[in-house]
Amino acid sequence: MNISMNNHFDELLNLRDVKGLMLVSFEGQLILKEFVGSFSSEPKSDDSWALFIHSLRGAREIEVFYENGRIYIRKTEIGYLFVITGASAPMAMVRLNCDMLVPAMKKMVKRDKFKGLFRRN
Amino acid sequence: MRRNVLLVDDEQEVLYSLQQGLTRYNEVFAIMTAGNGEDAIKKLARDDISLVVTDLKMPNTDGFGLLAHVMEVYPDIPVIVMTGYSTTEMERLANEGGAVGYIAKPFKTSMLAELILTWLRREADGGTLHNVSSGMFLQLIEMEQKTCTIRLADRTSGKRGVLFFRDGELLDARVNGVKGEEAAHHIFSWEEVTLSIENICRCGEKKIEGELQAILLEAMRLKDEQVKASVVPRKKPKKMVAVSSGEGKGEEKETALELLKKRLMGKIGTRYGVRKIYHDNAWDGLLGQMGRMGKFFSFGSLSLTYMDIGTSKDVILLPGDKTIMIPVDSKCPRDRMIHTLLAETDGNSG
Repeated sequence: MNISMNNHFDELLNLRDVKGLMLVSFEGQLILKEFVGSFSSEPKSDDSWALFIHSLRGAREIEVFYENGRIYIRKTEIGYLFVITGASAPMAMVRLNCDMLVPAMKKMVKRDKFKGLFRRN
Repeated sequence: MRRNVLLVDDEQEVLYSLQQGLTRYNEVFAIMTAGNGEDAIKKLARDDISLVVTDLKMPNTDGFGLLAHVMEVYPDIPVIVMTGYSTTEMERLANEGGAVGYIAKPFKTSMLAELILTWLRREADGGTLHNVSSGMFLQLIEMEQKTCTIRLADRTSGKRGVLFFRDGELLDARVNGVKGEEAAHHIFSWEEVTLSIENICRCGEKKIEGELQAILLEAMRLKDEQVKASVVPRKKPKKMVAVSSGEGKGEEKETALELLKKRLMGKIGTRYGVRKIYHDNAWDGLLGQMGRMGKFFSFGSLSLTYMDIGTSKDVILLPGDKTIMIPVDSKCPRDRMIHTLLAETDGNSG
């Protein structure tokens, strides 16, 4: 499938009840973030991310279930991708889209075309 | 992927003229031809056909006979009937026999092309995915307990297959002439496929009795056997490093855990191959972080964390005074198990 990187991210963001995406480097830098609608406060780049990423212990994929929402975390070539969703998001579709996104990101990293995909917040 | 459409008519000039008229669509579908029903049945068994267009009046096996055969053996393949002796009764019989379209001769080739394209598009009305791994495929199956027909093409061998699901249950499978469980084993062993989802299932009869999980495991086993037979012996997988910190200790303090174990094991133990449920405080830090993140997004309290840690075992973590650890097979039906656990542990995991 020859879909551009932006389309991959858009497809994820357009899934039902997906509220936002974040990409955090393995060193804990918040590289990219994009939210649909608004949260009372959005994550910022600070030192706490490094601890969080470290605590993931290199896991490939994590699904976190809360009372009223979910977070899907996926290891990528340059860090961890966080997909923030409501409780009714189709998780299988989120995973599938990430399965397609991850190799596409790998290619982008190789071509150094990763910058400018998201607006920086 | 380009599909094959089989045109069946005993009048060679009709076949020739239709074939010529439809060449302009050959980027979407290729035309194959058969001079009668018997010839068509042979081609259906040998070639990968996506749609059949058949005349009704033919020697040997006629169009109705062919239609009945397709409905019986290839319920996923739509049949369009064309006839020069069109009557209301004939149209009714064709529709009742399972034909998806009926077209009276003479007709414009573009009309038939439109009908063919409409039905070919429906093959993927539920979406198409490329370069999908078997793991992703499993997720698809688990997804929303779908009723659908999934057509797959193996990227390595070029083979094509069909799976029929009703309410998430695998009814039947087909690869070339092979059907049922054997076909499912073939399909589930494919590592990278392109698949399209049609949001209906025309398969009426359940021909696969085994549990999906068992079929998947058997497919993996058969694949492993093939690999062992053809390639150098594989290294033994590394043993999992035990991360338990308290299993079996402090019996009197484990009552809550034991109760949870009893309740969960009954629900997920035999069904999903879970053998151990125990306390493991090695993950407390991570769950603390997860809990804080949930609060940040106003998601409320943490219910469950599922982790693929890159080994044959995945990990489910339940929060509480002590973190509860459930190692599970990485090929387990994840969504079903998570839903079962969420229902079972709702408010009780602590």
